[in-house]
Amino acid sequence: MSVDQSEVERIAGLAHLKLSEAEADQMSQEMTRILQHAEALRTHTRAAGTGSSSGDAGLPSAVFHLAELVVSSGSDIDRIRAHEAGLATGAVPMAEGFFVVPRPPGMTDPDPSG
Amino acid sequence: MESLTSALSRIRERESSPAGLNAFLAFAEPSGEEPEALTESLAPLVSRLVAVKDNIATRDMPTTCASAMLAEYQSPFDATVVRRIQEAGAQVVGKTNLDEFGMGSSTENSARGATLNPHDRTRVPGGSSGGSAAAVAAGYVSLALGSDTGGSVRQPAALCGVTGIKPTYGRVSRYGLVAFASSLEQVGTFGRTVFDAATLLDVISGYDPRDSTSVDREVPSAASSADSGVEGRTIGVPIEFFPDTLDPAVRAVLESALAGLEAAGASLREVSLPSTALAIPCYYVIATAEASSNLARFDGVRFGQRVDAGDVGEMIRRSRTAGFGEEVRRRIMLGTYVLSSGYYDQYYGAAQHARRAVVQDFRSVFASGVDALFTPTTPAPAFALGERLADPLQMYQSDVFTVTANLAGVPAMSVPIGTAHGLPFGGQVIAPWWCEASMVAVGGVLEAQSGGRAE
Repeated sequence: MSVDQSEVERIAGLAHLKLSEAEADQMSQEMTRILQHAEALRTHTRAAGTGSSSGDAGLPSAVFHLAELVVSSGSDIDRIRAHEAGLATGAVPMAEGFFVVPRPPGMTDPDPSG
Repeated sequence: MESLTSALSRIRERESSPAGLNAFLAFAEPSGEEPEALTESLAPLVSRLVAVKDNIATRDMPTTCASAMLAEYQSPFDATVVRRIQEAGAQVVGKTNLDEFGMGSSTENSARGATLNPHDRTRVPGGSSGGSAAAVAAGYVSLALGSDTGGSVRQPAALCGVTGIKPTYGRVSRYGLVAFASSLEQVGTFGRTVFDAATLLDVISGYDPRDSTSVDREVPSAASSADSGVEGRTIGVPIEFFPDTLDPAVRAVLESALAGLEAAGASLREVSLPSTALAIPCYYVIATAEASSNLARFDGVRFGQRVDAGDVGEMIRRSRTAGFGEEVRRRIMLGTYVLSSGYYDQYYGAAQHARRAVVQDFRSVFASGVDALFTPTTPAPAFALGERLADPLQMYQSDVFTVTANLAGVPAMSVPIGTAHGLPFGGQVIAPWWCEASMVAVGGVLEAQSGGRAE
């Protein structure tokens, strides 16, 4: 895995940082080295498989039910329960691995140029 | 007991002399009023002087995190830990130096210059709570507060020859601690002795409604366990923490500490924590991811020094670029990268998986009848100033033995156990979740067996 200078510039944009060309070059080398070190994590994940069910034995459940956490009006709880039911059946719309959040009525798409 | 005024003049005189350590970033301004009389039973820290790491909010002193970004920041409130020590009778003497926002292992990444190791001023005090560790080791104060995200209390404690405790995740309120990696960090304590560090821990422990990650459960006194001994206890010795490459001088100190535990009635058992090899990459993916998110608030609008520009986007970029030092920028970049679309599963997802494996290692070992683990706190004693500054990977390796406790949330402490190459060396005790008291009992034995703190 190598992080080239254009990738560094893209990430700097996301992070709201400005790097000079020399800084971006140095950052590209350092990030490449550090991320190569992190490759061990991926090897481990592949070796362990994706399930790792034995590793989870005895751990407190990390799955929180939204309806139990959110103190809200009855109609919201109904909405959350419907959402949870949708998650279980795969009926909730998703894109690129993320939930699709419906745009509030009357709101237009943001200007991509910012 | 020394008054705050006399302690301040003593510390200021030493710090402004050629023997100064650059341990403090700000000093308290005594009000001139005598503190109200408190009874010792109700106020365990009556008249005690405490130094506070400068990423912990104080109302009457700046809180800069050793960053140009917060050079003029003054918190409108006191952190819960500061309020608690004051209610227990303590007085804050000043704010101590650190690696900017807690990001570093040497206190060299400070916008206000490096802190020096009081045992050898050509060496680092460790970090990121290097100012607090140096202040205690130099005898400026007997107690100090720090924060530990990947070893930032235990590693400087080891390198400076004092005791440092990182409690169980959720034991101590983080309200008023400037966030770096919220799922990993805890406020921790430094003391000249195990008893002192544990006394300070007892005062700051316990549920705080202002921190939803603090846990509402009973807090057994850790300080009262400091001399309860280890008779009949089983101490695990994890093989991954004693590699063949360990310096023989370091190995000798560790073996003598283990012999001391055995002589005090503990039985030693070799154990394995196989996921330790993944701990450093796992930590640096999770910590940088959380840092990139937590530090988004420093934009010149919500927090931080503003550098004006024609439009708001450019103003934010200029403010952040001017305000953050090199290591902070590097970590924000890494964290943004590992969280960005396309790399998320590959790095952040894999790191969360490895973190589970680290937790499971501890769970299995403690379930097998081991009461606590003993390891070195660091692979080597204090390194020279500048030695690792140019190589971030080598600096990150300084935390190789401390990060697993943060990943798993278990309590851990460093106790001086002797010297290697004439420098203090620390032994680490790791205990099961919420077992600070039994951890401190092991620490007390190590301290007694090694003849107390290193000089």
